[in-house]
Order: sequence, then structure tokens, then C-alpha cells
Amino acid sequence: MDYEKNLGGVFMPSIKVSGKSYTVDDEGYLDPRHRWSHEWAEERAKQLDITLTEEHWRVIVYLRKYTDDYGIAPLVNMVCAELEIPLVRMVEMFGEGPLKNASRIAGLERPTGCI
Amino acid sequence: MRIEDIADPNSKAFDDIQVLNVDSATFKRITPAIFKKAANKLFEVENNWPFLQLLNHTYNYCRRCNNCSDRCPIFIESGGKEQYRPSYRAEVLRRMLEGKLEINPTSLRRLAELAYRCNICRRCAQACMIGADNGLITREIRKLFSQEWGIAPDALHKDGTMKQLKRGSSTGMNPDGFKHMVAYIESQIPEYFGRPLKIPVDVEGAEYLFVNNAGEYISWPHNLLAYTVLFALFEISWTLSSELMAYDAVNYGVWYDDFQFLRIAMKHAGNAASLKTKKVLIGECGHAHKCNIALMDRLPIGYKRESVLLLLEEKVRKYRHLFNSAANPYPITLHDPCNISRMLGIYEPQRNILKQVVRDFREMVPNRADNYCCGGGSGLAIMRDAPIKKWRKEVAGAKKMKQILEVFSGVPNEKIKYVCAPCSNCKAQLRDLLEDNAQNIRYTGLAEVVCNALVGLQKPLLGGEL
Repeated sequence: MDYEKNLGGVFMPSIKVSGKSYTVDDEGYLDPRHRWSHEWAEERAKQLDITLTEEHWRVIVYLRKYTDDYGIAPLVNMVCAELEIPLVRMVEMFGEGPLKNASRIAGLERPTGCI
Repeated sequence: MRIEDIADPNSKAFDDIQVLNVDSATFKRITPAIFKKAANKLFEVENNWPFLQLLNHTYNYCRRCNNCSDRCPIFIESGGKEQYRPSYRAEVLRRMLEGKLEINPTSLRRLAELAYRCNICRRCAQACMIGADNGLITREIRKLFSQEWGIAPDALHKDGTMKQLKRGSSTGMNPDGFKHMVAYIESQIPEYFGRPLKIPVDVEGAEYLFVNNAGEYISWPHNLLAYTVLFALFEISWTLSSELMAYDAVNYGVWYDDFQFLRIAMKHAGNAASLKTKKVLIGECGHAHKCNIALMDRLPIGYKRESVLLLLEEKVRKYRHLFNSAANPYPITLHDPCNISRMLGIYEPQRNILKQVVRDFREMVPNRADNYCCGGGSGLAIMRDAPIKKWRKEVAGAKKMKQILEVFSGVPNEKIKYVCAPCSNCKAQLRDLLEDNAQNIRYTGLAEVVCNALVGLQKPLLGGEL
């Protein structure tokens, strides 16, 4: 990831997709000022060493819908139950703490609040 | 860092973290005249009546004896960094207003940042022989920058109070999300309890409206699960509320801005009336305790507020035949959240409860109202940027970590141990402090420990794989 100067002189990581620069915060979540796209998701996944398959996209679509409806990301057990994907498979797809990477790729906003 | 160098942009000895995501132009717009005019408002009755007496007292009568420094875990664990002395930031403000220190963008930024190198735990105020409170000065400096120029950390303001006011919770969770989360937790109950139980939401006329930090439902759903089981067994009439903001008892305004505090507090004050409950029961959240019990005293509200810890103490004693402490063989220590223990004097109930439901309870030293802050107080725990997290672990929370390791020293590494902390904010900090520990030390809320001791529980809430 490249870094570019953000407000306050703080260097923020950035990703280039189709020549356009997107900032992410230092936890790797897309800056909400930017518009998420499938293209961006593919690029972000590549950086996390993940190749997106249809199964990955089911999770990403679910995460985006859930967040749209409820304002927060679901718990991983909810995703496993709803999409009938075992937890071990989620970890295979997205790595340890699978929803972290899945949320980053899905362009969700970073988690906030006392959580 | 010498106080004279605060205004010198070439002096690099300040520190490496930056809490305020604010550009230099914002600080450049604050001229010395503007700053002095704004700062002097802090000392006017019309503009700052809530804290004026204590502020005047501290500002004018602090002798700079630095007795308070010896009590400050941040100052001690930083290796005695001058700028972390409790009295230092107050002194920067004094010298700026007296014309002894230049007011420029560098000194202004550093003063604002210094206000976020403090947990506002009040150990300093406890030590002071004349009752000066440098923790209050920290908070007033934060307030000055936020209320006058909108300068505040994103985690507290944009992603904190503003998010809560717009969406109902600083987590972003909206009322539908809350109901969905509660339904999910409810669906898990039979696995643990053996039979289903309803989690009451929006029930009119219940005796208690139970309020928690919304993050508790997301990160520690077993806490609500445990309380649902316990309240059912104790035959307590209670309800949650899905009204906007009623399902999130936090009020970050208490850390940095009176107006944001009031906006949220007024909304909270209306929540009990909607469901016709007479009492608000405050769950395991330190600053929800302080906001609702102490600070709300200043607002005209028509309902009582009670800490869940007192209610739990009474019921665990009355229903002691339901519990068997053999189910909690883990060595357990208790962390005293500053806002509950030092600020409100509530520290015996938690101990009385734990001593009934665990076999091996150990006290950290010092404890109770003399405790050490977890290191995440006053909003620092929710600032999760890597450099700040590192600072929290290595400086602000270092004393707490040392206490934890000390209390469990001698216990074999493989044995699971717990730090019980009845506060979401402390748990968030403890999660960071304990993440790499090699001694198998975990953290938990209080209700989970109590529920785990229930005779006939089908699945344990503690122990097991992480």
C-alpha cells in the first residue's frame, strides 16, 4: 500500500484502482468518502492474498445488505448460520477472524463505539 | 519535554502519537486573541457554571507540588515523562493565558493533544491535599477545543456522539439492528439454559428499564444472555427499549464536550418515560454509571437510577441456593472500573457477589477506590489506531497489566485465569492488554461469572477454547 498525507499531516494508506487513489484507514477499512465498487473489492482482496469466488461474494453481498439494514456488521456466527457456511470454511476463505477481512473487502465502515 | 519548548515546532521531544485528525489550518485560525477570549469563558459563570468552582480552585490554588505525579500511572509508566505529569497541561494553559508561553499553532496542537494523554481517572485528585483536580482541567481543555473550534478525536465526536445522535448508537446500530441482535441472543439461550426465555423489549410498565452500552450486545453478547437468565430466575420485572438511543447508554460527551453531553443526556432522560418505567437499571458500563447516576442529578428527571451491581448483590445473596461456586474453579481477580469504584464508591457489591460464586478470588493491590485505571479511560480505549493502541498497552495500561500479572504469579501458565471487569470500556482495553499474554489470562464481565455458577447450566459461559 502507498501512503498519502491526510488531514492533520497524518499519513494514511492508499490503494490505486484503475488509476484512482482510495484511502483506507490504518485498520484497512475503506474511507467512507469513497464509493465502493466490485472492482475495488477485487483489488483489495488481492492485497489480502484472497481470490474472490462466488462463495466469497455471497458473504460480501450479505455483509453489505446487513449493514445497510442494521447499521452494524453481523456477528460471524450469524453469517455462518444464515449462509450455511461452516466457521472453518469462513476462516479458509478470509483468514483468521474472518469477518475482519470480509468487512474490509466489502467496503464496510470501520467499527466504532465501545466494542 | 520542558514546558518552554511546547511552543517550539523544532523541538521534537513531545511524543509520537497523534489523537486529533485535524489539519494545521484549523490551528492557524486560532490567534492568541481568539484563544484567550475563548479560554476565559471557562472561568465565567454564564459560560461554565457546572464546573466553575472546582476549576477555579484547581487553576488558582494548585501549588505545583507534584504530589499527584506519584499517583499517576501514565506519568510513572512513561518513565517520568514531564509532559505526562497531571499538573503539566494545566500549567501550559496558565502560562499561555498569562503571556509566559507563546500561543501558536504548535503550542495549541500540543495542548489539545496533551488533554488526550490522560485517563481522567482522578487518582491525582485523590492525592491532592487541597483537593485540586487536574483530571478536571484535562476535561476542560478538551471541552474548550471541542466547543469552540470543533477539535476532538473522531472516535469521540464524528464516530461517537454525532453517530449516536443520528443513528441511535455510537456503534452505528439502528433500532432494527438492535432488535435483530437481541433476537439472535435470545435464540442462543436454550443452548445454555436448557429452555427458551424471552428477552423483553419495549414492554410497558416493567419495574426496570435495563440500559447498557450497545457495544456490549455486539462484542459480549453473553453478558445480556446471562442477565436474561438471572433476571428470570430472580423474578425481576424488566425490559430493554428499542427507542432511539435507549439501547445505547453511553454518553461520550462526558469526556470532551458539555453540549454533546447534554444533547444525549436529554434524549436518555426521555427514554424511561416512554415505557412508563420508574427505574432505570444501569448495566456493566462505567461511564453509563457516572452519567446516569451522578451527572443526571443536575437534570430534572422523574425516575430513579440504580446500578445493576447493587441489585445483583441483593439477589445473589437471596437466591444463593441456585449457585455452586465449584463451577468457577478459575483464579479470578476483580478490576475496579474508575467510574464505578472511585467516582461512585460502588466496590463492595462486586466483591460480595464474586466471593459467593467463585472458588479462588484474588485481590489486586491497590484496589477499590484506590485502583489503577485500566488505561483505556476517558475514551482512549475506543481509539484503535495502531500507535495509540501501542501507547495504551505500553504506557497507560502498563500499571494495570503489572497488577494482573502479579496477582496471578505462581499459578501455572496452563491454568485458565480471569480478570472480571464490570465495564465495557475496561473490557475493550483489557482485550488489548491481554491479547498476547502467555499466562492464559482472559477477561470477562460479571454476569457471565455469576451465570456460570448456576446449578443445572447446560453449557458453560467460561473456560473452553478461546
